[in-house]
Amino acid sequence: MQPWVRSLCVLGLIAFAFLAVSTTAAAFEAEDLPFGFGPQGWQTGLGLSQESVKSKGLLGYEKTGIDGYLTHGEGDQEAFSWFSGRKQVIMGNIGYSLELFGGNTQRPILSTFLSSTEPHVGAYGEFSRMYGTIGHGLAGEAQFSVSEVGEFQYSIVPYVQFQRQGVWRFSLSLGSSFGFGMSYQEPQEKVKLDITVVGEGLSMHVLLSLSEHPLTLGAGLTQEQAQVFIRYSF
Amino acid sequence: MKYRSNQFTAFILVGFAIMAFSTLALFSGVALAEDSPKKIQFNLNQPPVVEEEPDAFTEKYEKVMSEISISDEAAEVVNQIKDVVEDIEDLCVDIAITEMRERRNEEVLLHLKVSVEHKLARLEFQGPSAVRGVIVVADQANMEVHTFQPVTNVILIRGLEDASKEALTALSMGQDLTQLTSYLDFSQYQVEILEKAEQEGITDYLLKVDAPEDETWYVRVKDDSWFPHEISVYKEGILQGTMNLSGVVLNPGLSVEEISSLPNAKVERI
Repeated sequence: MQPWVRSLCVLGLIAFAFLAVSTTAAAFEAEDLPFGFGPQGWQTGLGLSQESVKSKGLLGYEKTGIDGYLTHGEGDQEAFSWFSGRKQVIMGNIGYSLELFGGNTQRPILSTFLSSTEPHVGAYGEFSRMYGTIGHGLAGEAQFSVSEVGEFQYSIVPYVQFQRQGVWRFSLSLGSSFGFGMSYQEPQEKVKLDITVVGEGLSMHVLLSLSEHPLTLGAGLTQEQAQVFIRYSF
Repeated sequence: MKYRSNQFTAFILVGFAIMAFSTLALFSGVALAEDSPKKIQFNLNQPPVVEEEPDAFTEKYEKVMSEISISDEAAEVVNQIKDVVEDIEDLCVDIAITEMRERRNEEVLLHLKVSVEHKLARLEFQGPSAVRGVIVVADQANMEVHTFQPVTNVILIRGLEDASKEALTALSMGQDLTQLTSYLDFSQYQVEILEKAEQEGITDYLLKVDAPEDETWYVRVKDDSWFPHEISVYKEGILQGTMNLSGVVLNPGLSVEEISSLPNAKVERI
């Protein structure tokens, strides 16, 4: 794929996301300024999200939202972006979610950490089922590169989870690469931790939301490349 | 489909909680209207207003009772049930609802706590697995319902009015709120004692109640508590479902904390 076609695809995705935003919301529910340091050097940008929640029966609800961010690295010509539209339905102890996304970074870990890749479009789906404090689920992700490589990647992630001073999840990753992982989410979602071992190596990420301040701090290590982030929400 | 059925049953349970809550509120004189025999106004849009007319209720009750021809013994049983419910300030009860669904039964188990004084009701779902661990707290004072959802570890807050509508719709009673407030008061219906069994000095009555909309309720009540322990609902001769009430504790002195405490989780509002 020619570079100009690639750029056009990315711009098209961004334009589509903004179009979707403009038709669904007059203003964004949450905006944040990510500022961090990673493999591409210093990065800064803008993150946006909008979400609507409506009840679905007495014990259920439905969330519909869009998320996205655009960042620019130090001295880079190319901006990094990722946008998604998602829907989540919860009925009692059963949850479904579907997300369509596109961009030139991987689906961000803990919704924060970037990892550049070829421009792509993809879909993520998840089914989860709880039985009180324990449960299981299945997540799947597929993405298709819109570059000349045309690479297709997918993963299927079965997991078990339980609640004990937060939500603990243990997962396997099957598909284009094999691995396993563990994540933890503090009850108030102020601390999030994600550890995975997939194909190429170990990755660890932690996110800390400061309750007194509109700041989220994050640090991560992916394939021996460190990232730190500060996100200021406004 | 199975889950849908479970949830429908769950709705019925929540409806019962609301019914129980409103019934208790009714007998405590929370809401009372005067223009028809025992017509109860239950306004879900605003917090209830206390009207101090205890005699009016008794007068209407006596009037209704005099218009219905039931045996003296049945009337005595109905009176005893009324007296018990009337005195309840708070209540703990385990509820098992079995709903008949064509070829299979769906059962929902839950623990209910209600306080008239605090205007709070709490439902802890214990089964089936599709709703196990879900906790619903209805706060009538603030007109809110807090629902803990284990699958997302989130506490969802919504208006009591919206939640009530969902429960009422499930109960097919959305257009007639007066049915809710009279759920445990059988005095306005034709009541007949079908069975009387005595065991270890305790008499167990089986009452047949001719309820509205072609429904017939079979209510079992023992004379040691005078609180119904089983209610079976038939419509046009077909069993619709059975509700068993066990572990009943009347007036345990529930605190606000006991009823309203929820797991530590992120809170979201609808």
